[in-house]
Amino acid sequence: MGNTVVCIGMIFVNFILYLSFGSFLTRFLKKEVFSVSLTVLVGFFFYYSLFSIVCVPMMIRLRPLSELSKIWGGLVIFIVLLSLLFHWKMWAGAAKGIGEFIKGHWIFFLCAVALSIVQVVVIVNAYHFTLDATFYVGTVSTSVYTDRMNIFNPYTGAWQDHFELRYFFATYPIHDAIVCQITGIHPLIETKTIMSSIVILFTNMIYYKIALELWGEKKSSVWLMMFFAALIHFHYITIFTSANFLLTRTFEGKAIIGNVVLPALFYFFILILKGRDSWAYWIMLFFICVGSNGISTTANMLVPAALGIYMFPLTFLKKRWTFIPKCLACMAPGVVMMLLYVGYVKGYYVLYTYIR
Amino acid sequence: MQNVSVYQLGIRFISACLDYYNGMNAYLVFYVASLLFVGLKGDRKVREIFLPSGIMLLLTVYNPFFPILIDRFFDINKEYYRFFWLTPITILVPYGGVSVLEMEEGKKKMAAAFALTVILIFTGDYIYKNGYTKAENPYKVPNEVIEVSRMLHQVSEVETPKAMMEYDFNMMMRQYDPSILLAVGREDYINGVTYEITEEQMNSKENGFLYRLVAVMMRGEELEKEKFLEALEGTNTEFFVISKGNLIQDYLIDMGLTKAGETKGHILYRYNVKERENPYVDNIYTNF
Repeated sequence: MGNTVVCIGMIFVNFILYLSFGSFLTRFLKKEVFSVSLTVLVGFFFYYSLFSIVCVPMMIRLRPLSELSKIWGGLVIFIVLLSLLFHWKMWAGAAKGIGEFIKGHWIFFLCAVALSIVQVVVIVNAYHFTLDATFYVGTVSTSVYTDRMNIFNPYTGAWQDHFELRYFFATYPIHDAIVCQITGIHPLIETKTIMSSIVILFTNMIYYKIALELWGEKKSSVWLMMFFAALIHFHYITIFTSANFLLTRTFEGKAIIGNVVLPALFYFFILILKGRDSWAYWIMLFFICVGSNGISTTANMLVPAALGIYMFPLTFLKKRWTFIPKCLACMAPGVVMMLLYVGYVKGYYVLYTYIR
Repeated sequence: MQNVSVYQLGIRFISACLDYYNGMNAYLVFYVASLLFVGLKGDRKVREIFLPSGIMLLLTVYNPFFPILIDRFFDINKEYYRFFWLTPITILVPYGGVSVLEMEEGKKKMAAAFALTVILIFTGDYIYKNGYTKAENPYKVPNEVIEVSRMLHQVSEVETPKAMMEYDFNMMMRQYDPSILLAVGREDYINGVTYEITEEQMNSKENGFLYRLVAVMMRGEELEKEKFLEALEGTNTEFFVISKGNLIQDYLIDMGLTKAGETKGHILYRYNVKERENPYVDNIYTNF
């Protein structure tokens, strides 16, 4: 019971952090009503974008995890307080709006919440043996125990003389390690319960946002679309599908790319197609692309490809050639990461885990 | 996907990949059907949302020549399937389904919703079709893993005992307890379990000791005493953790290992290794 309370508390804390970070981006949407779900979603990626910017240089400089915990912890407190100072009026207005929404659509609200909670309970309580967990969770456990970042092999505990660049820039597990170090929560609980729950909630949130764009005020249709999407997730199972990653490997960055990032890019495609193409939206899209690279290396390849497939046709549909440079700017982080990795594989450079 | 290669299959690569990716699921067919439905019945806005990405996907990801082209620059054999994630199946199929429901009203709509639910269930492959296994504890590892970890620390004289474990425990132990060091990593273990271990491999300078340990643990091979002990000493492995059904117990005792503890399902055997290691403190990194 105590464990459940801690996990629920941590999920709320995470959502408050994402709301605080995201508000710095969505505040520029002055003509529109403040959307908590959009802010939290964008805030998640903005949060991980900033985290990577702080984390990577510290890893290169071989600093201990505890030093990063102090710096990042301090920075997060500062940003949250700053956000509170700047955005409390927006948040208060949004809270009032949510209250009215629940009052007006309480059946829909209850059904949507129930659908999400059932999925969280079923997925996070299931036992699955997956080989990759050894790496992703092992990295968190090893980093916390050794107070070092990516220095020791998570499979054996052996010291590695250089960083494995395939995973180096995906700092998502290191963030989990920081949370575990600060809170004392076990890495298996942080990864397989807390962050997994957040990923499932985000997946439902993004399907809600998309359904809302497609069906507008027809709340029964919005809910049915969410329900059918969930149904497909539970049945579209081979070891390769993104649904399988969502259900059995939720703690991996790849699950976020397949089930949150790609639908989020599709959602932004719909928004821009519908004329919401101000700079603020493009900046949000940019941070989704940057943040996803810090979540999983898979994003390096999939995010530029998704932008090409979803966004480039927009240029012709809307006859707006200015979309091309904006799309290229969003693709750039993934392409740069991909080139950095190719450079490492080809042997152009190595990052050693000791001072030579 | 380990068993498909662009080099071998050429333009057939896509269809082989899709077969593995989809299995017996019909959702890709429903996606195409929904795309046609939207093309024929959808209003302009909806067509603009779904058709361009569908066409782009057909021209790129599902184009048989596309993998041949990008394989020249990147090795995409194992991970090409992730491009299929770009297909918005979980968006368009539900949208198509709800659009069909919207054409009906009242009881007919309810019946159609029920029918659609049944169709989606029976044309897919349910994740828990073989039963739902609830995790035994909040850590989501078997209780035995926790028990073995506790026992290892109880009997070990050092903070970081080094052990050789069976495959599944080897993969789970360090998620729960990173203070336990393991003799064999993931790739060496998988290679040792999947393929025949040759004499040449067991005598190789690079990973020979590791292959010997895997050969004994997972293949039940009874190596000469000198070779086995050399592998234990060479890897500083003090403990062997085996399940009670494993038939190598007598062999381990013959090799001079002694029983150090036992849990409900596992036995810990100990070898008095000459040198113990703690990589967390004894390496070049911590010496500056």
